[in-house]
Amino acid sequence: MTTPSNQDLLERWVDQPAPLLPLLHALHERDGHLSEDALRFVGTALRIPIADLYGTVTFYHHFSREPGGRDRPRVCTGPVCSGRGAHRVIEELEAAGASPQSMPCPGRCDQPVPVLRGDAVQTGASMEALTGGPAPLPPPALPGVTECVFAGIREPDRARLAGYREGGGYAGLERAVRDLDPGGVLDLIDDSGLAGRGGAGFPTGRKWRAVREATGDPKTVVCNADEGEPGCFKDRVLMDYDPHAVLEGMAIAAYAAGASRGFIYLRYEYPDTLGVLERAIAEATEEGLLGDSILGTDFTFQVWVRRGAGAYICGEETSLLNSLEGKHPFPRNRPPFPVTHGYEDLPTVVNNVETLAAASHILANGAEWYRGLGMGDHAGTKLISLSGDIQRPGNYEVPFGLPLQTLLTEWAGGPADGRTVQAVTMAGLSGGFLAGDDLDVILRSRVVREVFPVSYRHATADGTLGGRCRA
Amino acid sequence: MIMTAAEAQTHCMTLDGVEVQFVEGETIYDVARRYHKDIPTLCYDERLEPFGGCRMCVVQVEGMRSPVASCTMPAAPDMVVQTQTHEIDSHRKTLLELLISENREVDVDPLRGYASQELATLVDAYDARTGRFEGGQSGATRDDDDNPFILRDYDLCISCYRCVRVCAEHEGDYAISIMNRGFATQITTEFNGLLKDSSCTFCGQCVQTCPTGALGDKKAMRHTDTPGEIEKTRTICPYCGVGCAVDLMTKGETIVGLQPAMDGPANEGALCVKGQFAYDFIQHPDRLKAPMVRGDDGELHETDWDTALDRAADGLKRVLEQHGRHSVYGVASGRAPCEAAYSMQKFIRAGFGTNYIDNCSRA
Repeated sequence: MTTPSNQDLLERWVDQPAPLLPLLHALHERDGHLSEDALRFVGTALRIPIADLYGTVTFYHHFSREPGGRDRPRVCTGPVCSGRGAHRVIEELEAAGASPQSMPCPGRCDQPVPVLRGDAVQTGASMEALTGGPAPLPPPALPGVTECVFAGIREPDRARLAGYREGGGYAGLERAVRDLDPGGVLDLIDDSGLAGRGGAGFPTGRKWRAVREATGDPKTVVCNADEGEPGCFKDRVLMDYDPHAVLEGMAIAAYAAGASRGFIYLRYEYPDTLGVLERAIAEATEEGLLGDSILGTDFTFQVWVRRGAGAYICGEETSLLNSLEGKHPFPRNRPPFPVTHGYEDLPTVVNNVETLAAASHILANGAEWYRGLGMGDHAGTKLISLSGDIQRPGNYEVPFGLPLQTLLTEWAGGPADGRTVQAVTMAGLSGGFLAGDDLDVILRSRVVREVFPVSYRHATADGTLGGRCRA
Repeated sequence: MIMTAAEAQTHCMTLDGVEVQFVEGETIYDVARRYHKDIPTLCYDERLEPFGGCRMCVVQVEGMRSPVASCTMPAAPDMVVQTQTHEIDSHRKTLLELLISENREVDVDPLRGYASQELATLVDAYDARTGRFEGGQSGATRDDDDNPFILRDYDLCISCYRCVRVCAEHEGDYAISIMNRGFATQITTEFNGLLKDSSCTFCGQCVQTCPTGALGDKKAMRHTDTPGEIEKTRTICPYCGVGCAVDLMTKGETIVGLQPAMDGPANEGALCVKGQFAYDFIQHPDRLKAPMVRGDDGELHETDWDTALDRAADGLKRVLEQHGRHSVYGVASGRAPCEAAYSMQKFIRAGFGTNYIDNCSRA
């Protein structure tokens, strides 16, 4: 196979929406780094001032400017991996002459320590132990617990369209476009109480409705798959094992909000997920579940995956939108909000992976069903990524209203033998720590912010539980 | 009563306990400035889009959990805003303590640039020289950039990006941008090179908007140690016909620098490289102050105007007689006013009978 020229790669991407990141990735992959020549070519071709482009490229830590830089090993030195041998792995790689560099959490806290080389990810607590492999499936649900987004995830072949449909997949989308009008979908999502699962907890139905009512076309649905909070690895498992649930949720959101284009903004650190999503999009498009005339109606919705390049801030929705547009990924000032001024300054839904996947299940099973999944007065469920000094790290789908202690001891097996939980950090690094009596909290959604002591007021129930234990 | 469109869009809000009016599109900061509120800023330059980066302009808005940046927050009907509370002051002080924790020095010579005293002035106003956050440093000074005009002393940079924004938004040059992030953040040119190898036109706008002196006017800074107070005299740049207002800075009888007048009606603070940096000729020892003619010895000698003009006229007549009317070509100075340019073309066309006349502004 001949090496593609700059012009070949440009022609592949120039007429696509949001072309900058994929074009840069193509050149990065071809050359092993982003050369001055390549950047000058991109700047001229896409009419980006070269100083701007240089600044933007250097903002992302996985774009390398040094020859060979793309394949240099990057080792996670996040909060969990640092305690699990990250620095030993770095020393061993250095001793082997590999010139490793550290990277922020790449979302594999249940498999410390990840090492990224180009598009290959291996994990292990020492250089010798490094192995590849798929993301661990969530542990089986406890008896009597009904799950939502994890309900079908352990079924074999769920990631393929045939497997997904066999398990009842795309019934939600069919119901939406055949039995309901967009207003009916919005009412149903409102009734379910579904709120943003990325952390901010904004009511999903209200967001979709705001986009529907906003003026400006075309409208866009963006799936925020830039899961970057240290300790968070829940979206990866959803996309790897249940990608059609995410696509179905996007299509439902697009139908309700009146959008015709969609993007999945995927974090750089999930290279295998990229292939899974692209295959799923191709399958769904082939079957008339995405693209033109979806399910034989006049509803049209096209989805593209765009891969980030390593920038924590791009998990923030307005930075993400700037990144998609090829701009310097600084957050935007709000107002205006993305629902009126989002991608290309047009009305845009930005939802987390988990939120969109939940919408598929809600459309299929109803709002009442979803509300009933929570405990007591609490509605719905939440994925929690649990890692650190705990017996069974991994992803858990908990009903809202579950006591944190129940999750730690009964679901995850408690701390290692002879140890006690000293502290738990919630919702990533910005979530603060829980310790002592504060550990006796109930995992709930928006209430959490209001009842927590001030120092924990940003803690929501969607983050990591990086328990540090002591003897 | 018939209302104008502007009146129809007028709303009310409460500013520091007083009901005030605003029109749609105004930010809280815009309204507060109209009512003479003293809200501090660092990343704000009224010529540029509000950026909301420095957070110095935070105010308290009733019903909002956290203080908001007034420069980017649109005013809204019935908003209740406090521009100065103990809490807000304390926020601003902390922000300043954080900002200067990364800087080598805060006090810089005012000759560095028009806005160079903004940071130091605020630090003093908020009593923020506490050293509370000493630690990491960011920004690396580019000593290697030996261009004669712009000092790039990024140790003093606070990442307000006024330089980058004025270059893009106001000048359209896009010569500089922001590279890396976090403590490694740095103002850069393409591929982190020298200004002379970038699309920089050396207009000096970045220098004049820099609130910390991280960018400095190298020519003016030669006079840092010249004794005397800086005095500013408003005048008009003599280079071209635009008529940019400038403040000529002097110490005693010595011209030490030049800054654009932000309220100049023709330029609104803008200047080009010539207007900004090419004022040396005024006090240059080589500057001609009287006409000179070449003597029989081949050297130039000072003379009076009549002698000099007669001499020039003789020479031009001789050329005309010997070589014909198309042997003369006139180039009028772009610095001359319209009337002089008109006289010049008349002189060439009517006087010599040729159309060989041009103006250096076209070059």
